[in-house]
Amino acid sequence: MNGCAILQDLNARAYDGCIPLNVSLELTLRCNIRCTHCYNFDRDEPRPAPGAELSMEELRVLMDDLRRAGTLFLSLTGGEAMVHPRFWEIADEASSRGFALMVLSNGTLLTEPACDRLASYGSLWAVSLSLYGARAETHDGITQVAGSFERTMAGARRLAARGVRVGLKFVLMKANALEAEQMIAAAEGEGFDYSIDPTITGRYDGTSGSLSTRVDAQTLERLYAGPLRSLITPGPADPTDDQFKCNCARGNAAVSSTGEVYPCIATPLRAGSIRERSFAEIWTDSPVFRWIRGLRVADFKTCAPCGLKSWCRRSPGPAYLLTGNYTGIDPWTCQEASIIKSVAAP
Amino acid sequence: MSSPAPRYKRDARLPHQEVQGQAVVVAPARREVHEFDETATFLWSALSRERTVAELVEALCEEYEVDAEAAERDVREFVSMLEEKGLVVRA
Repeated sequence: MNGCAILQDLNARAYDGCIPLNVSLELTLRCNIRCTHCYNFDRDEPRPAPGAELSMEELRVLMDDLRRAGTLFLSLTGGEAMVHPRFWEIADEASSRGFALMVLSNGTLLTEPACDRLASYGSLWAVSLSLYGARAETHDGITQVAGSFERTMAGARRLAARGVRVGLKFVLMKANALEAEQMIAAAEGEGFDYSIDPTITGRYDGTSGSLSTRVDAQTLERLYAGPLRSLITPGPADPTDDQFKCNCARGNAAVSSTGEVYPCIATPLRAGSIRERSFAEIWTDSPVFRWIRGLRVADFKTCAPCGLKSWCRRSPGPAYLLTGNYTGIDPWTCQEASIIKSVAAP
Repeated sequence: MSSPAPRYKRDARLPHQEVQGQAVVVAPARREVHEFDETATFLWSALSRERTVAELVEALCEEYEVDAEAAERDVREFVSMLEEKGLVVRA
């Protein structure tokens, strides 16, 4: 098997065996940019009272626990992970423990010395950078920080020049939808991996101002007929329970900056806190995780009878953040499925 | 005078994990992921310390009922692959 097939097989086995192979570790909710669509909280408003971030000692204990539980891929994320004052110490600790390290960042702090240090990690699997436009004006308008586009692109190029695998993550919204093709062309032209997604969710703090940045139906249809066409991968019309569910609480988990354990970073459904119980105990015994693992298609009351399942890109995060219900729906996702069907099977 | 047998050790920087009894080793620089069967996992584990081929063969024969000649052939092949893929270094 090649590496890609091995990874697919590993993830399938992690799903079957409930092994937390992939864990996102949110180091902080602090950030040095103010994206209009941020899913953490509204960065134009005073920040909700933050809890105390995990200490170095708590992080060390957690990392040891994750190793024993079977984690291989550890993603350091935020907020902006690199603004954490002990980011390098954390990355050193993660690297020395045998994790395959991924760093999810906005890229604005990727100076020459920072790139040298990241590239020096033999454990660094990839760096994923968020990019919100093909033009500086567009990207900086979304991040609300002048110069952020240039800094992110410079960081991406510095890392690539050092042989680091760089992935650009394009989030499509009203303000940048018309640049989708240029964004793809730029990534391909410079040899970067990329992903592109029009999904915008509500926020961790329960506010939904981020949703106003979503593309409208007409634009979404144009996108799926064009630059997003590769995202159309029809699934079975009548999926099995395992085909319908994602890797949440099976092969994936997340730990927040304050120690809350979630089924994935996009779905902040609290399963426990590592300040109260070990990760392993939460992973094994949490009623929330047991419930998620036991869900069947029939438990998704709106989705189960829906005729759009082949075309649906549902994931629990948007539904949970909008409704507080893991098995609920975000009507935007339903509309998206309908649009995908109309484009792919008119 | 013959030179001493080379000693091998796994590259400590490489991410790895044991998944359901099988070692998985990630080589980020080559963008490769390797998964080993039970015997290879045993050898990979032994290589957390410096080992010669002879020492690995001895350990393998102690652990499994295996013919020494066949064991040496397998160990040499495995170590050669590990070295070629950059998963072990010579001490």
